[in-house]
Amino acid sequence: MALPHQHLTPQEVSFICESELITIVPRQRLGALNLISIDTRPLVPPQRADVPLWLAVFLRKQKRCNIVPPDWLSVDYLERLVKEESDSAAFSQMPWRWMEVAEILLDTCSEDLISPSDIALHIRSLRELRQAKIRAGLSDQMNSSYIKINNLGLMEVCEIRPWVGKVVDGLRKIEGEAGSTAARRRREDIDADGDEDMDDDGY
Amino acid sequence: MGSKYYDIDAILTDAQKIPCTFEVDVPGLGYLDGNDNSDMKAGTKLEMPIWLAEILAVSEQLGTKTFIHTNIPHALSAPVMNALKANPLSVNLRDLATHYYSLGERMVNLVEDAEDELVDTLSETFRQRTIEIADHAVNPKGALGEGTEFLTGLEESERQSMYNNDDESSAVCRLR
Repeated sequence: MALPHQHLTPQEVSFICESELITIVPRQRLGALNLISIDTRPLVPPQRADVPLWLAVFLRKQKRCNIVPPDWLSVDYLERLVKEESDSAAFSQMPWRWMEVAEILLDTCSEDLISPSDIALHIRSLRELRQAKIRAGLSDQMNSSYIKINNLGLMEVCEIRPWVGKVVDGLRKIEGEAGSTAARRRREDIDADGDEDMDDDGY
Repeated sequence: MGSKYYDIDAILTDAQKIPCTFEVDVPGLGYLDGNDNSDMKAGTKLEMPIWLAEILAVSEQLGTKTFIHTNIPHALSAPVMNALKANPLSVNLRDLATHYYSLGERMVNLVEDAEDELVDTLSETFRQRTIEIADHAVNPKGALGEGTEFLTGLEESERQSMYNNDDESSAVCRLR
């Protein structure tokens, strides 16, 4: 309770994401760096290397490297995902930190991406499709014990977590130990349905 | 209690009044009912704050003779429950009780004839209203005057979740 936020804030989530490794093509030589989290190998210009995202962004800003975008951050792939996302009721498989990585890469090195404006557009539609699904999913199966949603990214989980936590807590208080008959029925329904598209997000 | 000791909402919940019926004569307590210097007669109906009613009704659960019998307050009465069943979003909970859900929660434990149905209706109401609140928090239509009636009818915990939710979602929005 000492901290204003008990959950990760969006800013913290994108900060954590900066320690992800990403491939770069250096433009200059750089000796090995002994960082706290990782020891990077010496950077030799035409050879690709994996470095933490924050270092890649740092070097990119000084024009000392080019960032190689991850496979999924391409128009074709995202187009397919958007289609998949809108066709099926389940969430499509996305990298755990897709929102944050896409955000940072679009911000800092859009020149390294192929047609960044299309990518931004697809990321946006993916986000909106998924938000609508989250909303529908939550209203369907809100209960006093748990919420299951599969394949959410970290940012999406952190976005709904404070709210969902409070709601589940409120329901638990109202329903007491035994839970309402409706809640019990719902729980049985969910158990019977099996877990098609839902995963525990920590409650 | 413990951590709830300084919780202003818990205190305000405690102060909400519920109707009680005295089961025994109490000498010299008539002033509660507006009659100075007289005794409280058995069968007198009186509104008492929850914190007091809870203690006086404590032996009710044990089945022994008790000081008072607690009744369901208007906020949780059958007509209100029916209105909630019909449409949870159209009821002004704030007018019924500022801390509506915590009142319900306390009454379910306190009143013996509180039924499962009451709990079901309350939890269904809570579910439907929170989802509506989340929609309002993320996508405020307030500028157009839409939903103001619903939003003024929010009870205290709903109002808090509305504003907290506002913070969270605007933090994510700021990111892009």
